[in-house]
Amino acid sequence: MKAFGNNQGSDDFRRRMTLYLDGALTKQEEREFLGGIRKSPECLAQLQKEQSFREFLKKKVSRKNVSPALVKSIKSKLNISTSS
Amino acid sequence: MENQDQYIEEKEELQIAEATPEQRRVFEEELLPQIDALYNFAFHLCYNEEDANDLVQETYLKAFRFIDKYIQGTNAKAWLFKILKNAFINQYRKKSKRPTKVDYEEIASYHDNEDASHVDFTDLREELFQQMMGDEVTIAINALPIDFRTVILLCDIEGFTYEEISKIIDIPIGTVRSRLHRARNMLKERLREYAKRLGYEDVRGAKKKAKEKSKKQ
Repeated sequence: MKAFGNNQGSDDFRRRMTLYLDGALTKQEEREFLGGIRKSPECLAQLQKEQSFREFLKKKVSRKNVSPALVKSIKSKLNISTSS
Repeated sequence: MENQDQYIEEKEELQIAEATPEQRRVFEEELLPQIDALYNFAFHLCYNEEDANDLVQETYLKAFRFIDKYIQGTNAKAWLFKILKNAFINQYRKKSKRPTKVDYEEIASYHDNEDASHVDFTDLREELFQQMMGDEVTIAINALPIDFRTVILLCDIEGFTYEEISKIIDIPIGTVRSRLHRARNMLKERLREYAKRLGYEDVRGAKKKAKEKSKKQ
């Protein structure tokens, strides 16, 4: 297993890191990726930083609450009881 | 034309009235619970609550009309997002003459795009990001061109897979990946610019660059 040429800046590492974070690697590929990461502290640091960016986005992006009036309006247009 | 619209409306009402109790159950138990995610997606596409409300309502009316096409227990969220995306594009095209495709990206190959550039999030201090308010992030996302904003919202906020995104927005998986790559880079760049405007400068990034420069010499 090559450790991304021991280069956290390599295209191969970045590509696989993105696929890993996006849940697009197979189990086998994931094991290989994590195995390679352990051999390179720089890669591990890069992964953790990218992970923190993803978490940051999810946490900080504003989420709006749906108004009960909208739900009521949809149900009303579809002749669905609004009791629930 | 007016008569035709009236006919379509009457036909829609007729179809709604004809829905079976089972279809109504599916609608309430599988489709309606997705309303929060749909509304948030709609809000980030439209920028305002009124348009987002209209878009979500239109999505559910369409979903109900075509509920016989929905297979129970399958991916209701992705199915509804696809309907919403199509409804948005129709509305968007009506309101704006701007093209909705990122033409240059369709031509360029995935690898060329993905490997060509990489904006390093680490150039900014992590603690600075943690201090940022949600509004700043939302503004940065909303400032992205629509095609890039869409993939960020679908992947990073809603957690859809590449395959699901590919189906929702009708583009190949390779294009989903390259678009995401570019979108994330653009977003990081915008956040970095924002941080700079606030007076934050990353010393570590500058030190690293200076070190690399001296190595080359």
